Amino acid sequence: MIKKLCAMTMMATLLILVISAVGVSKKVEISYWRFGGVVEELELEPTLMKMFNEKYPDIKATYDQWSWTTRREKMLTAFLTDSMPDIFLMYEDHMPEFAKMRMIMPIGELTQDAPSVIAEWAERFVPAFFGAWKFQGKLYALGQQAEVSPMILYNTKMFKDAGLPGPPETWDDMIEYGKKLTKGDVSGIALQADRSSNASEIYASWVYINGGRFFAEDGKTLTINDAAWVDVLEFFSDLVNKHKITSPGALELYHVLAANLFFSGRAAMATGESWAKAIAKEAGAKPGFPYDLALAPVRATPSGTRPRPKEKFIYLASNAYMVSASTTHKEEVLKFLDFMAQEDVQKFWRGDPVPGRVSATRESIVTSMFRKQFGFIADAYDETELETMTYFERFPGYGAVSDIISVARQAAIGEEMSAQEALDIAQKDAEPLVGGLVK
Amino acid sequence: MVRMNIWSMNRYAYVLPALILVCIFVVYPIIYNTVLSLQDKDLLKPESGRYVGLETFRELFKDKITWVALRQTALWIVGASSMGLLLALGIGIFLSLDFPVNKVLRGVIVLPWILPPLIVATGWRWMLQPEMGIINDFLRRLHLVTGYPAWLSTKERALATLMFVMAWRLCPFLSLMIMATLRGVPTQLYESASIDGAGGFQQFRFISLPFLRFPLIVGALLTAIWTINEGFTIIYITTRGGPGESTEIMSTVLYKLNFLYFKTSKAAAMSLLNLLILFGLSISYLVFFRKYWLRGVEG
Repeated sequence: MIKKLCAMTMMATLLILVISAVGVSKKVEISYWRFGGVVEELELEPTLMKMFNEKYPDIKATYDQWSWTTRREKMLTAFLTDSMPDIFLMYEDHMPEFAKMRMIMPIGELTQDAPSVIAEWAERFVPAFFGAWKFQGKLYALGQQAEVSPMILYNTKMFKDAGLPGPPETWDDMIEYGKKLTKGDVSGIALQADRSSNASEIYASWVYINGGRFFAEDGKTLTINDAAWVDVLEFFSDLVNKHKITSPGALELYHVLAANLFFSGRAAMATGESWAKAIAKEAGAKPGFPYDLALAPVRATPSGTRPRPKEKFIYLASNAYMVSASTTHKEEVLKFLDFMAQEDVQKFWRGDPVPGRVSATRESIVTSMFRKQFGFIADAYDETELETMTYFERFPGYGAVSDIISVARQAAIGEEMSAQEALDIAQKDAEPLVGGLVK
Repeated sequence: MVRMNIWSMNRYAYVLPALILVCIFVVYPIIYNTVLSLQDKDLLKPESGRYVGLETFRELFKDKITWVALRQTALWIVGASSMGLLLALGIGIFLSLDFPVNKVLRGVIVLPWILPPLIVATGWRWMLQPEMGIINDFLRRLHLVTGYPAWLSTKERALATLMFVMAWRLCPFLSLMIMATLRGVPTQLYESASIDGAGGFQQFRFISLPFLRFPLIVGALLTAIWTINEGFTIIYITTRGGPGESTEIMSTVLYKLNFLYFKTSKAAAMSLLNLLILFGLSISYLVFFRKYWLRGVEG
């Protein structure tokens, strides 16, 4: 009897184990890496993972957080050693390069249903942003939110005390205001001009507003030494060297340091992008610090050959989801992306809990919460739905060109040579690098 | 005879695990890197990766930045090592003296050495910040500077400043080596010299310095190797090779070639050049060390 009982118990245990093992093996695991992000986003991610895993009990999404500064190294190493995650999130400025090296795959090729899912997303997201996530007509990225540029942070109290009506609207205003505001230990502007990709983006977005682009209208000829690029660089150089209204050490100022100078009251203005508000906490802004974010001033007449964007800002980039070309869980990956594209998730980037990010969906961008943060973007959306919005060119070879421009920028601001000479050298160095890659 | 064979086989067996690890983690990557450098691998061009002989090296030497990096790497090695040695000599001599405070200082001095280079670089980046950094604050309080000198923003100062940071990081190890050597010098030698009328400088020149010859030469070679290895972290975190290209060294350029330009073969060729320099320094170190050691063994 006892023997029978033992045998039955063992059989039952075995059966339970087999059933649970089958159950476990049914759960498909997908890996997701995130690079960088502000504190609130990093706090939000585990909640999103929990929400996803609850909605899809047959899928287990695992999440890893990595440093923003080593994003390229990490992804390239993972790619070359065949240890890519299924999905990763980073700025999509390298998307064309990753697509070229076949690191990532078009989302539309994930499953047969993918094109119809994408069609739904296209309806939900702001068209100008959605368009920027494509390369050669195929969707390679899905934005979590968006960034626009160029912007400046300005200290409202300092402006009021100096009797200034509001943020500078033109370059001349900026010089005049900067001179008035530069007093003792306070500088007019914290100009971010280090060799980082952020500083390069800021410079390039000023150029866009000045009628310049990376390429001529043929889409092949580099134009990084034309008047639009030269004039902006000369203006930056003049702020530092001629007018002396910038914080000392502009060539070593990176985004957090520039914001830090601003939020510690050492600079009345600081150059930045739409993320400037998002990093306020990290940069040491105290509650109630008197500041606002405004569009960067423009040259009275644009010196470039291309039209000045009507909105006076451009779409810069997004923290976007991209899919590894080697993923074997295509269906699950599509479900993950679709989950992240839902308004229930996208709403987190309207301002609460994540501040200072530009919402990427049509529904979020018209909310009062978003408008409170970025009134000028909401107004522009009301007017044109951002249909005419210009976006930052991204192309294979962008990393190299951006680095070459950063050398030129520092050579000109450091008074090693004129802006024209520095950019002529940059043009000569960059041309062979993009030749053959851009079609 | 058989026992002898087993014994000699045993000896090889003991080194085998280390040998296998060296082959996997040192020899194989060097071979792979060499093969890559003889190709035209460009990650943005999937059709690339053909054998092109020395063409990649020819292209590399055609680039202006290669020569800039070579020149600045030489400057970096010589400058940072010399600064490190000079600093270490002063600190080492001071630590060898019998001040009560030195017992504590001998422990504290290793701090820069044990900190990870990333922390050192990030810390110095903030400390050197013109307006908020502690360095300018300190110098201003001592009335040694006016305004806010930008140490990392001017072409003339940036490389020298970073050499100092590197020297600061390296000098603890050398200081302790120098201190240990000086404390090992028999005191009778100084006493005799003193009776014979030798002054402080003469005692240092004719007694201390000959004893310091070995640690100084070994220290110079080791610091030269370390400056190459750790230079990347210090420079990349603080200036990323700027202002302009004024702090670009070989390791920062090869990093850019691989991770920004995606020119894998060019980066491999650059890293082989870097390896050759390291190899030369390491061989010099081993030759010198062996010569000195043999002299010691032979009495």
